[in-house]
Amino acid sequence: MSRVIVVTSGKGGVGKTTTSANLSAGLALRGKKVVVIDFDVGLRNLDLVMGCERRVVYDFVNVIQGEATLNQALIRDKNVENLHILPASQTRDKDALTEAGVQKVIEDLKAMGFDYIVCDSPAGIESGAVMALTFADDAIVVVNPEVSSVRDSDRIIGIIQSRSRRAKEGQEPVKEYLLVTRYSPRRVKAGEMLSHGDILEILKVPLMGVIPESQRVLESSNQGLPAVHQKETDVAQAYQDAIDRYLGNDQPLRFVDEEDKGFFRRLLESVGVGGSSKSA
Amino acid sequence: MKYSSKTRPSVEFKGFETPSLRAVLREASALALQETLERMCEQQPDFFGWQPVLIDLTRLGDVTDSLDWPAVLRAFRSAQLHPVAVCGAPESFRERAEALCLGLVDLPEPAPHSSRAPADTQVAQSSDRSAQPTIPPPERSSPPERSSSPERSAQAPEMQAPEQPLLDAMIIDRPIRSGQQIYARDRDLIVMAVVSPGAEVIADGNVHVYGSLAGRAIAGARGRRDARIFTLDLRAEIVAVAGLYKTFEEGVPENLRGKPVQIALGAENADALEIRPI
Repeated sequence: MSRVIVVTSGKGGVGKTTTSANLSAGLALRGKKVVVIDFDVGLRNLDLVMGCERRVVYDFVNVIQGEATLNQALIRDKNVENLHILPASQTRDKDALTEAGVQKVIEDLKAMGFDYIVCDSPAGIESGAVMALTFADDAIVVVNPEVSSVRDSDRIIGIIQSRSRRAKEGQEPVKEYLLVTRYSPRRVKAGEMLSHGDILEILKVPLMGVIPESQRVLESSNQGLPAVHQKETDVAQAYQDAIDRYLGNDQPLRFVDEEDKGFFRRLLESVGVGGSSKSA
Repeated sequence: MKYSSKTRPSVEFKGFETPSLRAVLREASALALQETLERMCEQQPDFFGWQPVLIDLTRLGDVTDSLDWPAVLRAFRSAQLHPVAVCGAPESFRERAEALCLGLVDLPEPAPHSSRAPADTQVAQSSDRSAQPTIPPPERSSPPERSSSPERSAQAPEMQAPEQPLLDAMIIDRPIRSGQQIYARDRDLIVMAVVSPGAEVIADGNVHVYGSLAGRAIAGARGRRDARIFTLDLRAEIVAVAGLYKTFEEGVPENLRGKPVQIALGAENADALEIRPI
């Protein structure tokens, strides 16, 4: 049975595309058949982050408008078996996405036997974001530990609860998961950032994971290789823990407490060297 | 088809009490009415939701005839209000009302349009609302009489706004999120979860929030002065009762923060909102 997962946030720049990339790669690394769809029509990024920007021939809008088949548009990931990407159009605008068109594509993908259909939502609460969440079974709400991100996430959760198909047809509601990204325990301790507990208190959505702020994410998108592939890094491990929790295997929360690091290690880390714990 | 004594009539007339709206016109101007209604519906075009409305002409007296009636009716309909009848019209208006397909209703003196038994009448000072039935008494079988009841207690004239008994409360047991608005028309609203910042909870009756109230709460939205707001944890942006607002620009005062409170019109000073710990 396929599950449609929307990765959304309301606020822009919090880590939706990074999360979509790592979530899909992580699930595929566990043997699931996964497709990830970029719903950000006009401003596509997912292909860059997945490292397949030079292989985009046909896109989501081409498929909806009948100019290409799904098989022609889907791109096979080079790093993981069972992972496919459906890129967004760079040139058209979001009105090219129609509810009927999107529904057909999702149904066709389900018929192709995908276990998970990940929908990478654009920022905002307008038609693109609403289209991405309309057919969702699960919603991963990505939030940064700061007030405007939390407020926007609250807004998008309300929209999921009222405008998803499941809500409108009175079915079992969309299952919500909270993913806190760009978390810095040091800044939380200094009172500059909200803690994951605070965020949970405000949003009241089950916590799927906490992803620490990391240099790795920038490097990964530059290289077009999702961080989850670099197994020894904190980001990779945090995403793997999150995926475990999503699949029902509870894991203790890591990377939420400030480590007692020595001066040299902090210096080295600030220039992007060394990702695992070692005492100075 | 011939009607015979064996055929059942295709329609039966029964009594039905429904909370209804009375629009009291203050000026004899269709244009002014149009503008006012447009302003009211600006934020929410379906604010009135096709409620039937009784047009009250008591303040207009003889100028009633000079009103541009087609324009008046159009103005109401474009605000999603359905004009069904007029009241307070002079005798000379009778024929005109018929031509306009408007019913004629006689109002008792004084103005309240409820003809319920005195036990239902809200006593202004009383804080005990358990005596208030929420459903109209079942023994009423004929269409509601609009004539005044001789047993009406002497306390009734103290009421300023027409009071309707409230229907069963609306109960919501999930968080109300930023940007959402819940309006409990003619009833109390009970929220069994948090109200997020940027959310609005509105009721014609009381508002109860069994969680943190961080958004906006409006009780007595259509004028009930005895309505209250109750919450376990006050962090609201704005609260209002019967049109009187209070903002918390500096946050909730220290002595009330994080505590269960009730908010109501002041007992001594009815022009101020009072917040009291529960």
